[in-house]
Amino acid sequence: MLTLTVKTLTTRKGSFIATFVALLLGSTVLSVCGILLESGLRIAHPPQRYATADVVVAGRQQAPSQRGSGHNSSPLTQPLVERVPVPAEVARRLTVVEGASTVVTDTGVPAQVIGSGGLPLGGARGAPTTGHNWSSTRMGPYRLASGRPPAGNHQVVLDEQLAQQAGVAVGDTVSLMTRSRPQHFRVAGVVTLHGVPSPRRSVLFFSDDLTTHLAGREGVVDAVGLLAAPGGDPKQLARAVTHALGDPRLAVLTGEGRGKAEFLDVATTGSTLVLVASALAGNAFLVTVFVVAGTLSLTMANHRRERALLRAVGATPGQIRRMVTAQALAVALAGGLLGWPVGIAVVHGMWDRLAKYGFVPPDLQPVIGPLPAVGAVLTAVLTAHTAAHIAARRTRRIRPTEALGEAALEPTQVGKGRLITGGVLAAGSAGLFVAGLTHSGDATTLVQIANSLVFVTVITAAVLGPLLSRMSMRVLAPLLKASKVTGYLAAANHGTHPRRLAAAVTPLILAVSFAATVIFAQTTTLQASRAQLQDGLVASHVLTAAQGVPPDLADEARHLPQVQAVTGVVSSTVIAGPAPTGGGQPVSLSAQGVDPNALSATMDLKPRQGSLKQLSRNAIALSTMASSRLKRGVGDTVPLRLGDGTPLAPRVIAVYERGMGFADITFDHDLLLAHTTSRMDQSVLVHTAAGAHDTAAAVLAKVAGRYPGIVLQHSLTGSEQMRAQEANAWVNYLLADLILVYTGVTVVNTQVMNTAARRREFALLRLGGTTAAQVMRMMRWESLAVVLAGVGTGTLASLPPLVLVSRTLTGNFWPTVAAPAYLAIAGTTTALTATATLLPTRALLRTPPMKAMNARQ
Amino acid sequence: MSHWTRQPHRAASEAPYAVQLRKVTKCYGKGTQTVRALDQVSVDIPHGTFTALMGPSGSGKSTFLHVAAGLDRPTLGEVRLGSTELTQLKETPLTKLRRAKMGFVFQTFNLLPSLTVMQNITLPLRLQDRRPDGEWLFEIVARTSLSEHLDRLPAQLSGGQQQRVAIARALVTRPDVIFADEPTGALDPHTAKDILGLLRQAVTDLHQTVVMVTHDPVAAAHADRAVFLAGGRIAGDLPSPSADGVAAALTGLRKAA
Repeated sequence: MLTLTVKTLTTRKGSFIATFVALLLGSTVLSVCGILLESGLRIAHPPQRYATADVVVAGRQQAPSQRGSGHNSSPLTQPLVERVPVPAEVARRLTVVEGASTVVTDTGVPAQVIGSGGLPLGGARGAPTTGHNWSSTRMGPYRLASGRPPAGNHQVVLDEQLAQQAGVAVGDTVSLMTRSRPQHFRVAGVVTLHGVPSPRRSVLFFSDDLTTHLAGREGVVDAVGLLAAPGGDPKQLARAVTHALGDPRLAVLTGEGRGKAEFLDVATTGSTLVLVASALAGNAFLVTVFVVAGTLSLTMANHRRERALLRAVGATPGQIRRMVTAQALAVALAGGLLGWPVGIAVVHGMWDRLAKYGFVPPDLQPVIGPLPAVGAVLTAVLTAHTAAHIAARRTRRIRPTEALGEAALEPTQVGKGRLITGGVLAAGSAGLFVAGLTHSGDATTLVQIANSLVFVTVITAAVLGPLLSRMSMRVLAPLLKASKVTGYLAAANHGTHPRRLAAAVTPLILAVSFAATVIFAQTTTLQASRAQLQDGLVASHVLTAAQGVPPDLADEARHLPQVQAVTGVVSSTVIAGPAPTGGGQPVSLSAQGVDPNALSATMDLKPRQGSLKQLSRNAIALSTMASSRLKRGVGDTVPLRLGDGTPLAPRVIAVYERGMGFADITFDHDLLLAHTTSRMDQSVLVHTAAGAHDTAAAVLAKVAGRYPGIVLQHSLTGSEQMRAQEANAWVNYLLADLILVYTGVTVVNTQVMNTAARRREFALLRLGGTTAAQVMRMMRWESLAVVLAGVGTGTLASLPPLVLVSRTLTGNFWPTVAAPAYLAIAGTTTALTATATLLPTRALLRTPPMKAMNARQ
Repeated sequence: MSHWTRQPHRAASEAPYAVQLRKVTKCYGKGTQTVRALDQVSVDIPHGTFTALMGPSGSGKSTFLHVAAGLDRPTLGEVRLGSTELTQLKETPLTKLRRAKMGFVFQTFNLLPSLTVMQNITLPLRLQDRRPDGEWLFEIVARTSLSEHLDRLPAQLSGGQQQRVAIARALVTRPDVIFADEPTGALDPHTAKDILGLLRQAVTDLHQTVVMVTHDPVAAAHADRAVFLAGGRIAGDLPSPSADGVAAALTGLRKAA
C-alpha cells in the first residue's frame, strides 16, 4: 500500500496543491501565533540601570488572578499598565536580610530637558526622559565621566547622551521641566553607563531629597535593589528576600528578569501579545480545518475512479482510508514544516506594525524558539488527519460500481436530510437575529451574537447549497439567457449541476460575508467613536503635549478670567472585577479622570442615568458598554484595581453613552492621577467664558508657551480610547485578510478542479460546432453567474449581523460601509473566481478536440 | 507447463457451481420511481465454463454482473460464489473474498495510471500482502504477450494492450471466477478477437470460469453458453452459441420488448 500511496502522490501532485497551500497557510498563521505567544511569555530586555543590583524588588505588573496567589498566575492575566509602587519601608525591612550588603531604592519622576530651540528634547529611542535619585546609581554600573554628584535643589547630573544632545557640559545651566514650569539647573556632572554605549532610556539624576520632593508622594519608591555580600549567591539572596517579604504584589527579580522592573513597557507587553495571539490562533485553526476539509474532499472526489477501481480489485475500505490518510499526512508534514520559516518571516514583517500600534516596544525583537514550530506542524498534521477522516468516511459506503460508470447525473432532488438540517439552521439564524434585536445593548454579548450569526448563516448556506443555487439560477437565468447561445448554454449547465454550482458559490459566500462583517463592524465602531468624540467635546480649546501635560498648567488656566471651566483629562487602564453572575474573568477597561465641576462645560458624556457631578474617590461613572459588560448599574459597587494595582470598590453614580469616544470608566481627576506612573494629564480641556473668545486664545497661548511642547488646538483628533480602538481594528483587519486569503484558496481550487474535469464536455461542444471563442464566452457567463450568486448572497448574509452591531453602537440600523473596502472584497473574489475558471478553460481549449475526447481521465 | 493443466485445487464436496444466483431482485430508487433492474433472476454457472451474458440496452446485464460479483448487493435473493453466500458477508470480508477469488476486466479504465504494467498486474496480491507465484506470473505474462511492456505506464499502451494487462491482473490470483464487463467494447475487431482468444484460453487451458457481459454476437460465439436477459428477467439460454444464432435471438428479444 505504501508504494501505491507514494506513487499516487507523486504522479498526481497537482491535485494536492490546494491542500498543500491551505496547510501551508494554516501552519504559517499558527507559527505566527506561537511565536507571538512565546514572545509574550519570554520577552525580556537585560537590565542596564539595574545591572549591578543582584536582586531587584519591584511591583508585580499583573492583576492577581481570581484564584490563588500571584506566583502561579496564568499568563492570561490582565496587565497593570501603571507602575506598581513599592512601599519604602520594604527597603528598611530588607536591610536585615541575610546576604545583603547594600539596599538601595530608585524613584523616578518625569523630567524633560528643554533644548536650545525651546522644545523638549526627545530621549533615547524616542521615549520620555526620567529623573532619578542619585543613590540609585549604585544599582547600575554608573561612572562619573566628569564633575560630581548633584547636591541641593538646583543641581542635576545628566547621562552622556543627554548632555551631548543638549550641548551642555559640567558647569553649564540647563532648563528642565518636571511636573510644572521649566526651571534652571546647574549641570554638576555627567555619567556614563559602563559597558552600555547607548542606553535604552535617557536618565538624569537629582539629589535624593530633591527627587523625593519632586515625586510628591510619601513612602513609596519605584524599586528596591539589593547588592549581595561579596562571594554571595544572588539566587540565594533572592530566596531569602522572597521569604522575608511574603507579599504577592511584589516581584523579586534576578538576572534578565530585572529588566522588567527597569523597563515598564517590557513588563506590560507580554500579556498583551499573549491575548492577541490566543484570539488569532482560535479563529485560524477553525478556518484551516474548514478549508483543508474542503480541498481534500475535492481532491478525493477527483480520485474517485481510482479508488473505486481499487475497491473493485479488492482493496478493503480500511486500506483505502489508510491510503487517503497517509496522503493527507504527507502533504500536511510538507506544508507544516514549510510554514515554520514562512511564519518567522511574517512575524518579522509585521513586527513594525505591532510596534506602531503599541502592542510591543519598537526596539525589542520577537522570541523565536522551537516550540511554536512543533505546535504548528502538529496542528497541521492533526488538521489533515481529521479532514482526511471526514472526507474518507464516505468511502466506506461507496459501491465500487458507482464511480466506474460515466459521470452520473446529479440527483435533482435535494436530500431530505439536507433540507431538515438546513431548515433548522435557518430557523436558528432567524432566532439569533431576533434575539440580537431585542437584547438590551450589552456590546460584548451583541458582538458575540453577531459573530455566531455569521457562522450559522454561512453554514446554513453551505448545507442548503444546491437549493440556494437552484433558486439563484431562477433569478439569474433570465439574465444569462439574454445571450442566445453562450449565455443559454451557461444557464443550462448551471441548471443541471446545482451541486457543482453550490460548490463554487459556497466559499464565495463564506469569503464575502465574513470579510464584510468583520471589516464593516470595525468601520462602524470607529465611526461611532469618532462621532462620539466630536459631539462630546464641548470645550472650546484643547491643550495637549506629546509627553503629557503637567497638572500645573490646568491650575494656571483655571485662574484666567477669560476661562469659564478647565479640566485636565488623565488616561489610564483599570481592571474591573468580573460580572457578579457566573464565572467571568476580570476585564481591562479604559479609564479617564476629569474634574466633575468642569465636566458640563467641557465634556458632554451624555449620561443616561444619574449625574456625573458627584464624582469622587468613592463614586465613578460607567459607560453603557462597561455597565452591561460588568452587569452593574447606578447604585451598584464595582470592585476594581486601578492601573497600579490599588484596589478600590467605588459606587456607580452615573451611566453615560459616549464611552466609545472617551473612556469606559470615568473617575475623579485627582484620584486617577495619583495612581498613574507619570502623573501627568493627557490633555487639558478649556471652555472660555462667553464673549471672551477672541482674547482667550491669545491668553491661553501665552500660558501654554511657558510649558515647552504644549500644543493649543480647537478639537481633539483622538483620544487614548481611539488609539486603542485603532489598534484593535488593525488586529481585526488582519483576521479578515486571513479569512479572505484562505477562502481565496478554496475558491481557486474549486473552480480549477471543476473546470479541468470538463475537458470532454468542451471537446464535445467543439466537435458539435461551437467555436473555442464561444466556449470561452460561455464560461464567462458561467463565472458571472457564480460571482453574482456568491457575492450577492454573501452580502445579504452579512447584513443581519452588521445591522445588529450598528444598532447597538449607534442606534442606526445602517452600518458604516466604506465603499472602497466593499469594492475591494467584491473585486478580489470576482477576480479570483474569474481567473480560476477562465485560465484552465483557455488551457483546455488549446488541445484539439479529438485528442481531448480520447484523453484518459 | 503441464501442471497448469490440472484442475484448480477444489475439494470434491464443494458446490458444483462456480456462481449461483437464486431469485435475485435488484431495485433502484424509491416509491414511484422504482426501477427493477433484475427481477427474480436465477442462474447457475458451472466451473470451467465461459458464459456470455447478453441482452438489449437496459436489460440489466451489467447489474447482473455487479451483483454476481459482489460489487453490489441484491434487494432480494441469494448469491453464491461456490459454497459461500455473498449476501451474508459484511463489506470487509466480502472484499477479501473478492480479491482472493475473483478477477475483473472492465470495458475502460481498468488500470491505475500511476502504476507500471507489472505493478498493475500484481496489484491484487499486493492488496493481500501476498508475494506473487513466480512461475504463474511468468506464465500469464507470456500468454498475454506483455513480457516487453512490463515497465511501461498505462498511458503508453494501446487499448488492446491495456486490456491484456487487465486480463493478466484478473488471472494473477488464480481466481475461481473472472467477470468481464464488455471487455472488447472499445476495441477494433482484430484486437477484440485476440482478447477473446485469451479469455478462451483461460477457460480451456487454465481451467478458469469466465462470465462475460457483451452485446456483440461475435464475442458471444467464443463462449460455451449464452444467457439472455430482457427487462431484468432471463429470456433465453443458448448452449454452444454461434454468431448468427445469437444475433437472431437478440433481434427477437428487441422485437418483443
